[in-house]
Amino acid sequence: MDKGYIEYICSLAKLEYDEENSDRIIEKIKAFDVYAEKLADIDTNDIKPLVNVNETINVMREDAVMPSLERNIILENAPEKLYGCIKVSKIIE
Amino acid sequence: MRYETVIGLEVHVELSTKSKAFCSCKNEFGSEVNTNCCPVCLGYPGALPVLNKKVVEYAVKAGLALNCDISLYSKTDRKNYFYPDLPKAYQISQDDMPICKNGFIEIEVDEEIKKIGITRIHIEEDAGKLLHGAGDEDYSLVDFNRAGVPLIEIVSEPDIRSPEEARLYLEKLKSILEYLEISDCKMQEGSLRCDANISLRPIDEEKFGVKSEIKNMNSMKSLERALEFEVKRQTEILLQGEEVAPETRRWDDAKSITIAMRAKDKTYDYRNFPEADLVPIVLEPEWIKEIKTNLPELPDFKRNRFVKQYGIPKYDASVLTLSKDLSVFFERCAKDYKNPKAVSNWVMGEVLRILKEREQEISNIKFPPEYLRELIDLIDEGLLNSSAAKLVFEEMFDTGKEPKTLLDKLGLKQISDEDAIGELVNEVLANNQESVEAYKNGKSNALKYLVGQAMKISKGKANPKMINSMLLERLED
Amino acid sequence: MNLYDLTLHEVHEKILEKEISAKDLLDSVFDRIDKVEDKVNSFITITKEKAHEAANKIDKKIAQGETIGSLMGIPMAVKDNICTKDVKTTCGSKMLENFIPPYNAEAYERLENAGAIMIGKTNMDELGMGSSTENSYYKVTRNPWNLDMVSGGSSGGSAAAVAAGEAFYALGTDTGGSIRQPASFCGIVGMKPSYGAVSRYGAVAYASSLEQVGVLTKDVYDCAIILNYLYGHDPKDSTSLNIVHDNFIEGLKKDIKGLKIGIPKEYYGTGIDDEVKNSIKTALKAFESLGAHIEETGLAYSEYSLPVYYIIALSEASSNFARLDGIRYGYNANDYKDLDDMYTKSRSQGLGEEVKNRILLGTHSLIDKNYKTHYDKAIRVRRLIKEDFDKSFQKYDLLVIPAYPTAAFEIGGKIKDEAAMYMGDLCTVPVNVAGVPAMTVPCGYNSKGLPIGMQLVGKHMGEATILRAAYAYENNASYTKLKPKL
Repeated sequence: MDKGYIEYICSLAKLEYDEENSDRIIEKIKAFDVYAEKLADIDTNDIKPLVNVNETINVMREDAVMPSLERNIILENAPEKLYGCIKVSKIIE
Repeated sequence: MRYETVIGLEVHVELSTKSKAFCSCKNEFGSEVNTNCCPVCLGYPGALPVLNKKVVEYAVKAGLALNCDISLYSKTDRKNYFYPDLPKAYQISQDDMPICKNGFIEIEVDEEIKKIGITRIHIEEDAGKLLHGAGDEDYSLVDFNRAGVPLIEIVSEPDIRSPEEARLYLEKLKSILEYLEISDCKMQEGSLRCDANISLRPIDEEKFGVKSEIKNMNSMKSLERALEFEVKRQTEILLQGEEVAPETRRWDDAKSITIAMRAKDKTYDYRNFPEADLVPIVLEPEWIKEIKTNLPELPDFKRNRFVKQYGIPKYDASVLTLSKDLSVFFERCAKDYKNPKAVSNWVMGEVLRILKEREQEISNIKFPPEYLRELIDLIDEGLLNSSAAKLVFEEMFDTGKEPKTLLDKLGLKQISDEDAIGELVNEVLANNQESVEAYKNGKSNALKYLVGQAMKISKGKANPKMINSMLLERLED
Repeated sequence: MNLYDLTLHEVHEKILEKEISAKDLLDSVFDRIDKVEDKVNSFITITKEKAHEAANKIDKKIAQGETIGSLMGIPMAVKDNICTKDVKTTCGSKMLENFIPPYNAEAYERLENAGAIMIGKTNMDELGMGSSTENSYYKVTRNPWNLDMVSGGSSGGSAAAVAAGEAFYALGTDTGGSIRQPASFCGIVGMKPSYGAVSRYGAVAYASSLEQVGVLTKDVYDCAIILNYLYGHDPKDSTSLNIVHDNFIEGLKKDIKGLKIGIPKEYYGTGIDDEVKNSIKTALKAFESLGAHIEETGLAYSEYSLPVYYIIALSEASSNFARLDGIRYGYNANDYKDLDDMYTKSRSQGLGEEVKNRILLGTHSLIDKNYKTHYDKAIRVRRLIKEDFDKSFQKYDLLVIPAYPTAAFEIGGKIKDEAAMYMGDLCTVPVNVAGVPAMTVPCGYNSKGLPIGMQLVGKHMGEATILRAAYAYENNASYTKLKPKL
């Protein structure tokens, strides 16, 4: 756990890495890990994961088309737009 | 040192459902930009996905047709990464529990059947489309119509050993998916997309070499060409004692080369984890059985049936059944016809030729298959010779009109009237004394010349068989 | 008596009797807002014009003789992370300062369709992250009982608005106590429904598998009224349950003789304020006098709920809030050099410190090398915690625990006592981990005159039992009748 690691997770989360603040974040993550460590007490090898407490299955809809949004509404919310599209910084592939 | 090529293909197939995978927006190619979008597929805050039942059905169909085990329990996951075409900044996909596993496709290489393994098939959503200007604009544009369109990703085992095998695999896969009617499978429009992982290893070596991933191959031909290029490129690198870089490369069709893409971190951590906004998919074995029972006839099966039922060569049957539409076209022509091989020759010859020449699809052909059958009937009846038939065929292709009508319109009806033929023969004999002499002196070739002259005078309309026999009659007198 | 001081069901009676109109109610509420909003800061957006238009329509309908439903013409407030069509929905964040949803959250839409009049969007901790509503980009909401105190959070604006008489009830969301704790601080009733009972569609997701939309009301009866509208299947939310729910009013007045109430000892340890303990003790005596059986019990896995909760909540948050990228909507930093810079600057400038920290912790929990020990471990232990609750509910109809270890704390003053801080989480988050329903009911005041709340926790879809017990208690103790002096 070092500043390089903080820079790494910042890049994954697309958040600015702030060198000055990184020590504080390291402390937070360390504390969080101590917290998480507690769970190691419990043997979960035979326990299945539980994502949805209701464990419902097969919620699906029929393949039917419903009206979409008006394009001008989509564009009104977009900070930058052009030719009916949403504009972003040039992407180089 | 000799090397063996190892290829695995990852194929993304857009499913031809009416609506998108997780919302009710229209799933349609070519709509006006950003008109098939809603809060769900735009990733607006608070919007939630609901799975389209048809997507599951189509994925299971694909799995069954590709000989997979269908998972009775599968779930969706989030694959997290930022990209402007990915509205939620995660793609709903299936990580550790895909809906289908362990399948295979059979291809025919040098007359031998070869099995290519399929590792898995999973359901996921497509991203939007990025539009880049041709000039030096400092921006890109995003159209989200495609965002949320259902995909299945079909991942092969690294069982493919040559660029040709890769093409055969993809052709077969496309063919099967078309038969299932679950996708348009148009590579140009991107409804069928193929990425290839390719590496080389010394012959007899078990360990795989370092692979590169090749993208942007928009046709069967470019897949084969890109891989051929890559084999050459990697061989040269290895022969120089250097190492292949583990990178993603882009096929440039115009330049016919692969180019390394902007260094993308291959070890990117996607933080896959279960999608809590959706619930697991649990399939009933009965339902799977029902789908299996109702699967359409698939290409391999149809090919064998064509050989048996129509007595056409296996090669013909393979060509005719690779495309579902072509096989249907053939069958409508050949049904109850005494000489299916003649039909096969026409379909594989003229029909495919003209489609290629005019860059058209069999599905858009203007005339019904029965017209081709009528055309062949006319030849059989002696009303049309083969060169005239080709003219009629082209006209039929362009106008979609009945061959009989065209025959009259073009004045191509064959002359089979004895008196008319007799006059023609007389004219030819009178004007070609030299050839008549030559024939009588034992030069049998001269007969062909005389027939040709008669055909020429009749503008190709005379019945060549009748001319031939009448000439012989007179010459032997 | 001012109209704004009445409960939802009381003003409904008056509308029914044609004593007052929707406009009268709205005028009363806006007068109240004019008078106290500057002190309390409950709202981010006030939709006065829209509210008047809506009230006009309702009054016309009533004049035309339309059947008058329980919510018709009655002003209410909506937490600002619940999407409202054509009305700004900021989530308390700079990131969504100008975001106007083109759709209603299902929970709100059901109320609107029933004639509810929305008067505004309430303040909250940014994106639901916080428990004091100090962590809003816009303002700090103050506690109507004492303006130096916090209102609780993250639904602090909703709680304060209801307590201050600015709205008759308010919608909130509860990911880890965000309805129940502010309800406790503000001396009102707050219900976190069973997971899957109320549609989450349009409620801006923080932690999808933990949270529910719920309601903050002046009393238990009002709560039952609203739940009748909110509950029920929504095909737009895959986690919404497709089951028929009870009519919550019908069962309300039945007695609670023989009701078995468990008191899990883990929730009464060090850190719980003596005044809180005593208030609950008194409440339990009241329950006993009403015929309930009280018994001490245990929930052994409770201590593990906290790490489980934080790992799951922050992991899900890191993914759910990744969509806040300033491309399709939201804050976009204008000055950037490339795509990556645009993402990073927009998110870093648009999101607050606490949110960013939590996103980083969530990202940390999901990366490859931590997945097994963090996220995957947490969702497995989650099953044990849920089973622990299930077992308990085989024996008991209800569990009673503190809503919070203390009454409201001071603005700007963090809780210094670590044990109290720990207990604060412990009181609220296990309920979300197990997905069971829980309701805060006021049960007394501390020496400073601040409200104290207790939680009634029921089994999954056991809201009717909670409501029945709470209603019986409320009629016996009537703490919900008191109003803050503003």
